[in-house]
Amino acid sequence: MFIAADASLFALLFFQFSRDRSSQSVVFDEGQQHLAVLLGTVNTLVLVTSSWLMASAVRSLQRNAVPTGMRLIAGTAALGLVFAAVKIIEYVLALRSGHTVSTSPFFMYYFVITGIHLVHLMIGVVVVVVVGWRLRAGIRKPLDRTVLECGTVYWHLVDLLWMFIFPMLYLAR
Amino acid sequence: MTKNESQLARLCAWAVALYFIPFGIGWGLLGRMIPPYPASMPAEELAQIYRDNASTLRIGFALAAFATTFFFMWSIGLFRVMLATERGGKILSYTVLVGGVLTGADLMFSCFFWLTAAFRPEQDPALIQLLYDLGWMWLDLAFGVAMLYMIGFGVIALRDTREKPLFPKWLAWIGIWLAMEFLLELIMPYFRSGPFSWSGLFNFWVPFFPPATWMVIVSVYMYKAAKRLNDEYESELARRVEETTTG
Repeated sequence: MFIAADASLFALLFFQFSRDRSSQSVVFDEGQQHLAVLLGTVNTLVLVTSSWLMASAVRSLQRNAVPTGMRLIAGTAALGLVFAAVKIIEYVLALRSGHTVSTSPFFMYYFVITGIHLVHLMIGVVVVVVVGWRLRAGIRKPLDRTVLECGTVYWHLVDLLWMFIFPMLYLAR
Repeated sequence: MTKNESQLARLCAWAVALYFIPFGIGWGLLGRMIPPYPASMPAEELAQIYRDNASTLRIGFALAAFATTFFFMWSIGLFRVMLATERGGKILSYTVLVGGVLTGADLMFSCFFWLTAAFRPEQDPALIQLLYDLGWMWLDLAFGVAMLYMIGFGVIALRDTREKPLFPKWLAWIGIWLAMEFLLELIMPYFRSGPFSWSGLFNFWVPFFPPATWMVIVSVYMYKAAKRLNDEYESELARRVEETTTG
Protein backbone atom coordinates (compact mmCIF):
# COMPACT_ATOMS: atom_id res chain seq x y z
CA MET A 1 0.00 0.00 0.00
CA PHE A 2 2.74 2.34 1.04
CA ILE A 3 4.85 1.44 -1.97
CA ALA A 4 1.90 1.97 -4.28
CA ALA A 5 1.39 5.40 -2.76
CA ASP A 6 5.06 6.27 -3.07
CA ALA A 7 5.07 5.18 -6.68
CA SER A 8 2.10 7.42 -7.33
CA LEU A 9 4.00 10.43 -6.00
CA PHE A 10 6.74 9.72 -8.46
CA ALA A 11 4.13 9.24 -11.17
CA LEU A 12 2.84 12.71 -10.35
CA LEU A 13 6.35 14.13 -10.52
CA PHE A 14 6.97 12.52 -13.88
CA PHE A 15 3.64 13.72 -15.22
CA GLN A 16 4.37 17.29 -14.20
CA PHE A 17 7.85 17.03 -15.68
CA SER A 18 6.41 15.83 -18.99
CA ARG A 19 3.91 18.67 -19.08
CA ASP A 20 6.53 21.30 -18.43
CA ARG A 21 8.92 19.64 -20.81
CA SER A 22 6.50 19.69 -23.72
CA SER A 23 5.83 23.38 -23.18
CA GLN A 24 9.48 24.32 -22.92
CA SER A 25 11.26 21.70 -24.97
CA VAL A 26 14.09 23.95 -26.06
CA VAL A 27 15.12 24.78 -22.51
CA PHE A 28 14.80 21.16 -21.51
CA ASP A 29 16.79 19.82 -24.44
CA GLU A 30 19.46 22.43 -23.85
CA GLY A 31 19.72 21.55 -20.20
CA GLN A 32 19.91 17.88 -20.98
CA GLN A 33 23.05 18.45 -23.04
CA HIS A 34 24.87 19.28 -19.86
CA LEU A 35 24.11 16.05 -18.09
CA ALA A 36 26.79 13.46 -17.66
CA VAL A 37 25.09 10.63 -19.54
CA LEU A 38 28.05 8.34 -18.96
CA LEU A 39 27.75 8.65 -15.18
CA GLY A 40 24.03 8.16 -15.45
CA THR A 41 24.58 4.98 -17.44
CA VAL A 42 27.11 3.70 -14.93
CA ASN A 43 24.60 4.29 -12.18
CA THR A 44 21.93 2.44 -14.10
CA LEU A 45 24.18 -0.60 -14.37
CA VAL A 46 25.10 -0.32 -10.69
CA LEU A 47 21.48 -0.29 -9.62
CA VAL A 48 20.34 -3.08 -11.92
CA THR A 49 23.18 -5.26 -10.67
CA SER A 50 22.28 -4.49 -7.08
CA SER A 51 18.68 -5.52 -7.70
CA TRP A 52 19.91 -8.78 -9.19
CA LEU A 53 22.12 -9.35 -6.14
CA MET A 54 19.20 -8.69 -3.82
CA ALA A 55 16.99 -11.16 -5.69
CA SER A 56 19.80 -13.73 -5.49
CA ALA A 57 20.09 -13.02 -1.77
CA VAL A 58 16.42 -13.85 -1.34
CA ARG A 59 16.85 -17.13 -3.20
CA SER A 60 19.91 -18.02 -1.12
CA LEU A 61 18.12 -17.33 2.13
CA GLN A 62 15.16 -19.37 1.02
CA ARG A 63 17.55 -22.28 0.41
CA ASN A 64 19.06 -21.54 3.82
CA ALA A 65 22.44 -20.66 2.29
CA VAL A 66 22.86 -17.95 4.89
CA PRO A 67 26.53 -16.88 4.45
CA THR A 68 25.96 -16.48 0.71
CA GLY A 69 22.79 -14.55 1.38
CA MET A 70 24.58 -12.22 3.76
CA ARG A 71 27.35 -11.57 1.24
CA LEU A 72 24.79 -10.80 -1.46
CA ILE A 73 22.94 -8.43 0.82
CA ALA A 74 26.19 -6.69 1.71
CA GLY A 75 26.90 -6.40 -2.00
CA THR A 76 23.52 -4.82 -2.61
CA ALA A 77 24.09 -2.23 0.10
CA ALA A 78 27.59 -1.55 -1.16
CA LEU A 79 26.37 -0.96 -4.71
CA GLY A 80 23.71 1.35 -3.28
CA LEU A 81 26.47 3.41 -1.73
CA VAL A 82 28.37 3.39 -5.02
CA PHE A 83 25.28 4.81 -6.73
CA ALA A 84 25.09 7.55 -4.12
CA ALA A 85 28.76 8.40 -4.55
CA VAL A 86 28.43 8.64 -8.33
CA LYS A 87 25.33 10.79 -7.95
CA ILE A 88 27.15 13.15 -5.66
CA ILE A 89 30.00 13.41 -8.13
CA GLU A 90 27.43 14.28 -10.79
CA TYR A 91 25.90 16.96 -8.62
CA VAL A 92 29.30 18.47 -7.87
CA LEU A 93 30.13 18.53 -11.58
CA ALA A 94 26.83 20.20 -12.39
CA LEU A 95 27.18 22.75 -9.64
CA ARG A 96 30.78 23.50 -10.62
CA SER A 97 29.66 24.31 -14.14
CA GLY A 98 27.20 26.76 -12.71
CA HIS A 99 23.96 24.79 -12.87
CA THR A 100 21.80 24.99 -9.80
CA VAL A 101 18.21 24.19 -8.95
CA SER A 102 17.14 27.65 -10.11
CA THR A 103 19.11 27.72 -13.38
CA SER A 104 16.22 26.51 -15.46
CA PRO A 105 13.06 24.42 -15.12
CA PHE A 106 14.99 21.46 -16.44
CA PHE A 107 17.62 21.69 -13.74
CA MET A 108 14.92 22.22 -11.15
CA TYR A 109 13.41 18.88 -12.09
CA TYR A 110 16.80 17.25 -12.46
CA PHE A 111 17.95 18.12 -8.96
CA VAL A 112 14.58 17.63 -7.27
CA ILE A 113 13.65 14.32 -8.91
CA THR A 114 17.09 12.74 -8.62
CA GLY A 115 17.38 14.23 -5.13
CA ILE A 116 14.15 12.64 -3.96
CA HIS A 117 15.25 9.39 -5.61
CA LEU A 118 18.59 9.60 -3.82
CA VAL A 119 16.84 10.03 -0.47
CA HIS A 120 14.74 6.96 -1.22
CA LEU A 121 17.89 5.10 -2.17
CA MET A 122 19.67 6.02 1.07
CA ILE A 123 16.63 4.84 3.03
CA GLY A 124 16.78 1.71 0.89
CA VAL A 125 20.40 1.06 1.85
CA VAL A 126 19.43 1.30 5.52
CA VAL A 127 16.47 -1.03 4.89
CA VAL A 128 18.71 -3.57 3.15
CA VAL A 129 21.24 -3.46 6.01
CA VAL A 130 18.50 -3.85 8.62
CA VAL A 131 17.01 -6.77 6.70
CA GLY A 132 20.45 -8.38 6.50
CA TRP A 133 20.99 -7.91 10.21
CA ARG A 134 17.59 -9.34 11.08
CA LEU A 135 18.12 -12.38 8.88
CA ARG A 136 21.69 -13.08 9.87
CA ALA A 137 20.68 -16.48 11.26
CA GLY A 138 18.48 -17.30 8.30
CA ILE A 139 14.70 -17.43 8.01
CA ARG A 140 13.39 -18.63 11.35
CA LYS A 141 9.88 -17.17 11.58
CA PRO A 142 7.15 -16.28 9.11
CA LEU A 143 7.74 -12.62 10.00
CA ASP A 144 11.33 -12.94 8.77
CA ARG A 145 9.98 -13.89 5.39
CA THR A 146 7.72 -10.83 5.32
CA VAL A 147 10.54 -8.53 6.34
CA LEU A 148 12.76 -9.97 3.62
CA GLU A 149 10.05 -9.63 1.00
CA CYS A 150 9.15 -6.07 1.92
CA GLY A 151 12.77 -4.95 2.02
CA THR A 152 13.43 -6.54 -1.36
CA VAL A 153 10.33 -5.05 -2.93
CA TYR A 154 11.36 -1.61 -1.69
CA TRP A 155 14.81 -2.00 -3.19
CA HIS A 156 13.33 -3.10 -6.51
CA LEU A 157 11.10 -0.01 -6.39
CA VAL A 158 14.17 2.20 -6.03
CA ASP A 159 15.66 0.45 -9.04
CA LEU A 160 12.47 0.64 -11.07
CA LEU A 161 12.10 4.36 -10.38
CA TRP A 162 15.59 4.95 -11.71
CA MET A 163 14.62 3.00 -14.85
CA PHE A 164 12.06 5.74 -15.48
CA ILE A 165 14.12 8.68 -14.26
CA PHE A 166 17.22 7.90 -16.29
CA PRO A 167 15.65 7.84 -19.75
CA MET A 168 13.29 10.66 -18.87
CA LEU A 169 15.94 13.07 -17.73
CA TYR A 170 19.06 11.92 -19.54
CA LEU A 171 17.96 10.46 -22.83
CA ALA A 172 14.54 11.50 -24.07
CA ARG A 173 14.40 14.27 -26.62
CA MET B 1 -14.54 4.05 27.43
CA THR B 2 -17.40 5.23 29.63
CA LYS B 3 -20.58 6.50 28.09
CA ASN B 4 -19.83 10.11 28.97
CA GLU B 5 -16.34 9.96 27.49
CA SER B 6 -17.65 8.22 24.41
CA GLN B 7 -20.23 10.92 23.85
CA LEU B 8 -17.65 13.67 24.25
CA ALA B 9 -15.24 11.87 21.94
CA ARG B 10 -17.96 11.60 19.33
CA LEU B 11 -18.64 15.30 19.68
CA CYS B 12 -14.95 15.90 19.08
CA ALA B 13 -15.21 13.83 15.92
CA TRP B 14 -17.95 16.16 14.74
CA ALA B 15 -15.70 19.08 15.58
CA VAL B 16 -13.86 18.34 12.35
CA ALA B 17 -16.79 19.93 10.51
CA LEU B 18 -16.81 22.89 12.85
CA TYR B 19 -13.18 23.36 11.98
CA PHE B 20 -13.26 22.76 8.24
CA ILE B 21 -16.28 24.77 7.28
CA PRO B 22 -15.34 28.09 8.90
CA PHE B 23 -11.67 27.55 8.08
CA GLY B 24 -12.45 26.78 4.48
CA ILE B 25 -14.66 29.83 4.17
CA GLY B 26 -12.44 32.12 6.21
CA TRP B 27 -9.01 31.12 5.02
CA GLY B 28 -9.76 29.71 1.61
CA LEU B 29 -12.53 31.90 0.30
CA LEU B 30 -12.48 35.20 2.20
CA GLY B 31 -8.75 34.99 2.84
CA ARG B 32 -8.20 34.33 -0.87
CA MET B 33 -5.86 31.43 -0.16
CA ILE B 34 -7.24 28.84 -2.54
CA PRO B 35 -5.07 29.18 -4.50
CA PRO B 36 -2.60 31.51 -2.77
CA TYR B 37 -0.96 34.41 -4.51
CA PRO B 38 2.36 33.20 -5.89
CA ALA B 39 5.65 34.12 -4.26
CA SER B 40 6.61 35.74 -7.53
CA MET B 41 3.87 38.38 -7.28
CA PRO B 42 5.33 41.89 -6.94
CA ALA B 43 4.82 43.57 -3.57
CA GLU B 44 2.88 46.47 -5.13
CA GLU B 45 0.34 44.12 -6.66
CA LEU B 46 -0.08 42.12 -3.47
CA ALA B 47 -0.47 45.29 -1.36
CA GLN B 48 -3.10 46.58 -3.77
CA ILE B 49 -5.10 43.36 -3.40
CA TYR B 50 -4.89 43.69 0.36
CA ARG B 51 -6.00 47.32 0.20
CA ASP B 52 -8.90 46.54 -2.10
CA ASN B 53 -10.13 43.59 -0.07
CA ALA B 54 -9.18 44.51 3.47
CA SER B 55 -12.64 44.00 5.00
CA THR B 56 -13.17 40.47 3.72
CA LEU B 57 -9.56 39.49 4.39
CA ARG B 58 -9.85 40.66 8.00
CA ILE B 59 -12.95 38.69 8.84
CA GLY B 60 -11.66 35.74 6.81
CA PHE B 61 -8.45 35.29 8.76
CA ALA B 62 -10.03 36.12 12.10
CA LEU B 63 -12.66 33.48 11.47
CA ALA B 64 -10.07 30.96 10.28
CA ALA B 65 -7.93 31.51 13.37
CA PHE B 66 -10.96 30.95 15.58
CA ALA B 67 -11.98 27.85 13.63
CA THR B 68 -8.75 26.15 14.68
CA THR B 69 -10.24 25.98 18.18
CA PHE B 70 -12.26 23.07 16.86
CA PHE B 71 -9.14 21.49 15.44
CA PHE B 72 -7.85 21.38 19.03
CA MET B 73 -11.08 19.79 20.19
CA TRP B 74 -10.77 17.21 17.44
CA SER B 75 -7.18 16.44 18.45
CA ILE B 76 -8.13 15.92 22.06
CA GLY B 77 -10.96 13.58 21.10
CA LEU B 78 -8.66 11.68 18.76
CA PHE B 79 -6.08 11.41 21.52
CA ARG B 80 -8.62 9.87 23.90
CA VAL B 81 -9.68 7.32 21.31
CA MET B 82 -6.06 6.48 20.47
CA LEU B 83 -5.32 5.98 24.18
CA ALA B 84 -7.89 3.23 24.20
CA THR B 85 -6.65 1.83 20.88
CA GLU B 86 -2.94 1.79 21.63
CA ARG B 87 -1.46 -1.51 22.64
CA GLY B 88 1.08 -1.33 25.45
CA GLY B 89 2.69 1.95 26.52
CA LYS B 90 0.98 5.21 25.63
CA ILE B 91 3.77 7.38 24.23
CA LEU B 92 2.38 7.30 20.70
CA SER B 93 -1.00 8.51 21.93
CA TYR B 94 0.68 11.48 23.54
CA THR B 95 2.52 12.07 20.29
CA VAL B 96 -0.83 12.22 18.52
CA LEU B 97 -2.06 14.76 21.07
CA VAL B 98 0.99 17.00 20.90
CA GLY B 99 1.24 16.75 17.12
CA GLY B 100 -2.44 17.48 16.65
CA VAL B 101 -2.49 20.46 18.97
CA LEU B 102 0.68 21.92 17.47
CA THR B 103 -0.73 21.50 13.95
CA GLY B 104 -3.78 23.47 15.05
CA ALA B 105 -1.48 26.09 16.55
CA ASP B 106 0.52 26.24 13.31
CA LEU B 107 -2.66 26.90 11.36
CA MET B 108 -3.87 29.46 13.86
CA PHE B 109 -0.70 31.51 14.17
CA SER B 110 -0.07 31.67 10.45
CA CYS B 111 -3.46 33.39 10.10
CA PHE B 112 -2.25 36.20 12.37
CA PHE B 113 0.41 37.27 9.89
CA TRP B 114 -2.07 37.60 7.07
CA LEU B 115 -4.57 39.23 9.40
CA THR B 116 -1.99 41.84 10.39
CA ALA B 117 -1.28 42.62 6.75
CA ALA B 118 -5.01 43.14 6.20
CA PHE B 119 -5.26 45.26 9.35
CA ARG B 120 -3.08 48.07 7.99
CA PRO B 121 -2.82 47.48 4.25
CA GLU B 122 -1.96 51.11 3.46
CA GLN B 123 1.56 50.63 4.83
CA ASP B 124 4.69 50.00 2.76
CA PRO B 125 4.00 47.20 0.22
CA ALA B 126 7.29 45.58 1.18
CA LEU B 127 5.90 45.09 4.69
CA ILE B 128 2.71 43.57 3.34
CA GLN B 129 4.82 41.16 1.32
CA LEU B 130 6.99 40.36 4.33
CA LEU B 131 3.93 39.47 6.38
CA TYR B 132 2.53 37.40 3.55
CA ASP B 133 5.82 35.53 3.13
CA LEU B 134 6.08 34.99 6.90
CA GLY B 135 2.67 33.40 7.00
CA TRP B 136 3.63 30.89 4.34
CA MET B 137 7.03 30.07 5.77
CA TRP B 138 5.35 29.47 9.11
CA LEU B 139 2.44 27.42 7.80
CA ASP B 140 4.43 25.25 5.41
CA LEU B 141 7.64 24.63 7.29
CA ALA B 142 6.05 23.54 10.55
CA PHE B 143 4.89 20.39 8.78
CA GLY B 144 6.90 18.23 11.20
CA VAL B 145 4.19 18.55 13.84
CA ALA B 146 1.59 17.23 11.42
CA MET B 147 3.88 14.29 10.68
CA LEU B 148 3.94 13.53 14.40
CA TYR B 149 0.23 13.05 14.77
CA MET B 150 -0.36 11.38 11.41
CA ILE B 151 2.43 8.85 11.83
CA GLY B 152 1.60 8.36 15.52
CA PHE B 153 -1.97 7.61 14.54
CA GLY B 154 -0.84 5.30 11.77
CA VAL B 155 1.43 3.22 13.99
CA ILE B 156 -1.17 2.89 16.74
CA ALA B 157 -3.80 1.84 14.21
CA LEU B 158 -1.44 -0.70 12.60
CA ARG B 159 -0.60 -2.24 15.97
CA ASP B 160 -4.27 -2.73 16.89
CA THR B 161 -4.71 -6.48 17.30
CA ARG B 162 -8.49 -6.54 17.60
CA GLU B 163 -10.20 -8.97 15.29
CA LYS B 164 -11.87 -6.05 13.61
CA PRO B 165 -9.42 -3.17 14.13
CA LEU B 166 -10.85 0.14 15.26
CA PHE B 167 -9.23 1.87 12.33
CA PRO B 168 -8.61 0.20 8.95
CA LYS B 169 -5.01 -0.56 8.06
CA TRP B 170 -5.26 1.22 4.73
CA LEU B 171 -6.23 4.43 6.52
CA ALA B 172 -3.14 4.10 8.69
CA TRP B 173 -0.86 3.54 5.71
CA ILE B 174 -2.31 6.41 3.70
CA GLY B 175 -1.86 8.71 6.71
CA ILE B 176 1.77 7.69 7.07
CA TRP B 177 2.42 8.18 3.38
CA LEU B 178 0.69 11.60 3.29
CA ALA B 179 2.79 12.63 6.27
CA MET B 180 5.98 11.66 4.40
CA GLU B 181 4.88 13.78 1.43
CA PHE B 182 5.13 16.86 3.64
CA LEU B 183 8.90 16.49 3.46
CA LEU B 184 8.74 18.08 0.02
CA GLU B 185 8.04 21.34 1.82
CA LEU B 186 11.70 21.35 2.77
CA ILE B 187 12.59 22.64 -0.68
CA MET B 188 9.74 25.17 -0.83
CA PRO B 189 11.93 28.13 0.26
CA TYR B 190 14.04 27.68 -2.86
CA PHE B 191 11.23 28.49 -5.25
CA ARG B 192 9.19 31.57 -5.99
CA SER B 193 7.34 29.91 -8.83
CA GLY B 194 6.72 26.50 -10.24
CA PRO B 195 5.35 23.29 -8.80
CA PHE B 196 7.55 23.33 -5.69
CA SER B 197 6.69 26.87 -4.56
CA TRP B 198 4.06 27.51 -1.88
CA SER B 199 1.38 27.87 -4.53
CA GLY B 200 2.55 24.93 -6.63
CA LEU B 201 1.23 21.42 -7.19
CA PHE B 202 3.59 19.66 -4.82
CA ASN B 203 3.70 22.18 -2.01
CA PHE B 204 0.15 23.44 -1.95
CA TRP B 205 -2.37 21.13 -3.58
CA VAL B 206 -0.76 17.83 -2.58
CA PRO B 207 0.03 18.60 1.10
CA PHE B 208 -3.28 20.35 1.85
CA PHE B 209 -6.19 18.63 0.18
CA PRO B 210 -5.51 14.89 0.41
CA PRO B 211 -4.61 15.18 4.13
CA ALA B 212 -7.78 17.23 4.70
CA THR B 213 -9.84 14.47 3.11
CA TRP B 214 -7.96 11.91 5.18
CA MET B 215 -8.81 13.87 8.36
CA VAL B 216 -12.50 13.68 7.55
CA ILE B 217 -12.28 9.92 6.97
CA VAL B 218 -10.37 9.51 10.24
CA SER B 219 -13.16 11.44 11.98
CA VAL B 220 -15.76 8.99 10.69
CA TYR B 221 -13.80 6.04 12.06
CA MET B 222 -13.07 7.98 15.23
CA TYR B 223 -16.79 8.40 15.79
CA LYS B 224 -17.44 4.72 15.22
CA ALA B 225 -14.47 3.74 17.39
CA ALA B 226 -15.75 5.85 20.30
CA LYS B 227 -19.04 4.03 20.07
CA ARG B 228 -17.39 0.61 19.90
CA LEU B 229 -15.11 1.39 22.80
CA ASN B 230 -18.12 2.27 24.92
CA ASP B 231 -19.80 -0.99 23.87
CA GLU B 232 -16.63 -2.88 24.75
CA TYR B 233 -16.56 -1.17 28.13
CA GLU B 234 -20.24 -1.86 28.83
CA SER B 235 -19.97 -5.55 27.95
CA GLU B 236 -16.77 -5.91 29.98
CA LEU B 237 -18.52 -4.24 32.91
CA ALA B 238 -21.54 -6.52 32.56
CA ARG B 239 -19.26 -9.55 32.37
CA ARG B 240 -17.45 -8.59 35.56
CA VAL B 241 -20.70 -7.88 37.41
CA GLU B 242 -21.94 -11.31 36.38
CA GLU B 243 -18.68 -12.91 37.50
CA THR B 244 -18.83 -11.39 40.95
CA THR B 245 -22.49 -12.16 41.48
CA THR B 246 -22.32 -15.75 40.27
CA GLY B 247 -18.81 -16.53 41.55
